[in-house]
Amino acid sequence: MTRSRNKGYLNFVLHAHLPFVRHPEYERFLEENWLFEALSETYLPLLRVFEQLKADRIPFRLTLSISPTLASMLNDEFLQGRYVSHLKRLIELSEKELKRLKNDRQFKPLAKMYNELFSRNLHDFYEVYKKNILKGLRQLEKDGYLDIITTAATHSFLPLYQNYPAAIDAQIQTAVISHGRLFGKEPSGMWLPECGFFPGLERYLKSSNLNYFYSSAHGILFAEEKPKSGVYAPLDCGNGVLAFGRDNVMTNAVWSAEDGYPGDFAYREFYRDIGFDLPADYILEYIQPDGMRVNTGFKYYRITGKTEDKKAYIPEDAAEKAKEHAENFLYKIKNKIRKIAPLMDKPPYIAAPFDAELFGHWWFEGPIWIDQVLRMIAADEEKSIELVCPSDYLKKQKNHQKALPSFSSWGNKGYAEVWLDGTNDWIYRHTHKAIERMQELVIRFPNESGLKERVLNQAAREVMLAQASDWPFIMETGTTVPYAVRRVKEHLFNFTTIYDNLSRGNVNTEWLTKLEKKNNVFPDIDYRIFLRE
Amino acid sequence: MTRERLQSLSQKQLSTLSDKIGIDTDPEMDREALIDSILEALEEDRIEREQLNNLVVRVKEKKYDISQDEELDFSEFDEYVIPERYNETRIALLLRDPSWAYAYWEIKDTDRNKLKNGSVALRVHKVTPGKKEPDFFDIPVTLDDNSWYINLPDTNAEYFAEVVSTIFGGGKSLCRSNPVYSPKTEFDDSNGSSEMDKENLLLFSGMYDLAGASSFSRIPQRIISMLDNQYLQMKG
Repeated sequence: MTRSRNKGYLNFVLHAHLPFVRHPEYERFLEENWLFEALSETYLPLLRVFEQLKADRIPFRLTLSISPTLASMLNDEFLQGRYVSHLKRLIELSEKELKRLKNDRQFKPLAKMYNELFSRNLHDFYEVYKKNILKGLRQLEKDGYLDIITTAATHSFLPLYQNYPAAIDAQIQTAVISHGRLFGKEPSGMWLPECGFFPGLERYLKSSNLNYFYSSAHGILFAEEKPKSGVYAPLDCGNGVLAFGRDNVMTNAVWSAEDGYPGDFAYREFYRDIGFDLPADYILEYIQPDGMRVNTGFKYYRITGKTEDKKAYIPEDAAEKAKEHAENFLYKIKNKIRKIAPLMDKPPYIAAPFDAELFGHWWFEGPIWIDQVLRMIAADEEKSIELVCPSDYLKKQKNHQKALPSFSSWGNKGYAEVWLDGTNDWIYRHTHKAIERMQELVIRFPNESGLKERVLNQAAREVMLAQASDWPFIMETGTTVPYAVRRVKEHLFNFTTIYDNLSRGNVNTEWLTKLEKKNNVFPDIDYRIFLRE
Repeated sequence: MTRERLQSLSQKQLSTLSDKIGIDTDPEMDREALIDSILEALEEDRIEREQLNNLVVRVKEKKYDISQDEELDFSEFDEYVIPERYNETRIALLLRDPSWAYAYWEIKDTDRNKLKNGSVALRVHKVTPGKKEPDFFDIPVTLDDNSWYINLPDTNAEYFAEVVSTIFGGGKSLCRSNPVYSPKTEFDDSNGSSEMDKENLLLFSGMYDLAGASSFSRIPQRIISMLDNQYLQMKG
């Protein structure tokens, strides 16, 4: 047995996901802003970080998981066009703000900052990526910087569907096919929605040639056998599929607004936005047409805690602080490796997964922090940290302890309570019933083509869209509850209408075509995935 | 939910809203005072909810937060009506966490009619390997109930549930659920562990900040006490 040198592997995992939201039936639709905000504050800024690192010849490597629904939206021409209009509106607002603040020494630089940010975003989105950022991500993967993986097709919280093998199959297979189509290659592993794992899921992953997934820490710690290296070496689930464990401490430093980095007083305050602060008649065009206040992305204050006395944001100070926090993170990682590596027979594997939207959207300076961390690791003389992805690790390390992880997730208390409580438990009897009916349809209509096949494929889409974990999550956390409720009911209603129509032998072609055009996700779906041998 | 938005609502809507939230209101209360109470109650709810949310959930919810907590539905009608029930006799069991399961069930009309004079119960069985008959306990329910959160007595055990009719004091099974397996919540110690092993496991758990302050407050409390009880007193 060889003692490890003072060395460890660090695997950053950014999980980018949004549910499928597309409303061509309205001129503007509030929840489409989820995508636009994420593009403006997270995806485009992160792309700029990666491109600059590449231009500066700084080596880096990280895992990026992009959900099939998010990838579909990024690839959709209609939504791309809407984002361009959205950006143009914000640039117009920034010009208005520059006029309004022209004599304000404190806030005018911030209006300028947003003017530059949104103009830059428009340039990158339109000129550089030709409105499709998937191109940029694919190139970074080809260049060896990113390893892009997938997650369940509509981000369903899989443990609550474990009694429906056909549904689990459908979520995983559809995801793999969609990923192959949009990224030109099969994904090597899967990010499980909310790290939701149940014993048995590894068999489905194996059937789809997925080699690994990420688990919450206690999923690993309470595995069937005690993990010899805790979360610092992956476990073989028994069939060759590996489970990589999340390091809570390293990631908490980044997640926590209370005792982690994002809450520092130098950073931009998320909650103060001119969409809420400025008079309605000035801001009306840039919030909702009915006057409902929404975020515009123009936030001028820094975090000052619970006081009403808010202070202006100073970007230079914030950037300095991000650099400091990057140094601190590096110190923590190296310290951890120094303590743990001598106790293991191979270098520890530190998995640090995050929701991508944490960087830039919630923590505005997050992309600067990532940039600094990656540069510092590359420049580190000690070379104790090697940035890897699971596929790299699997080439070097072969023998893995066999132990099946336990049912687990990374939500409150580590199991299913976020997605199954008084606010959202009503969903499951209906989605389960829809799955059973879908299976019934496949048996009754095993070999359809033409119009009937289209109907059945749309039924499959609707069943899956109803299962998105976002809807119960939103109901539990109380952000946009009416919309989430409406979405679940709408998809169930659509499915049931198709089910009833097929039972009566009639198909409303016009209604079907409208629905196909609107809920146009997974164009090559085959309803027969719901047939379980 | 903002003050402005509440101010745009009619008196009737405000009244319905305060009933929904569960605020006691004085009919003589003026509009502004009512709006104040509503905002206060919503804020309290939000703080309570946030405190129960862990870091992942707190950050994750921000990506959906484009307005300010639209937790209330003002729509007058249901655009998409889904069936309340499917008129079949069946029961399903979902595991929520090692100590709680959620059961949902239905009894079809023809069966309900036969039961009108009787009582029904949710019978929860715990399967013990090697034991021929599972242990069970009953939860009395009414014909109008269709779901329940069940406190599971033990972890690391398999359960299933039935809806039984208890007319003659026995229990005629109307339907039986799928099994669920409550996972263990202790480390596998079957091979014994040295003090060194135990300390290593704590180090390897990724739960403790080895460079300084511990992250106790962010770890599910159940896990900390398990780590501590099962093994050792953590210094400092």
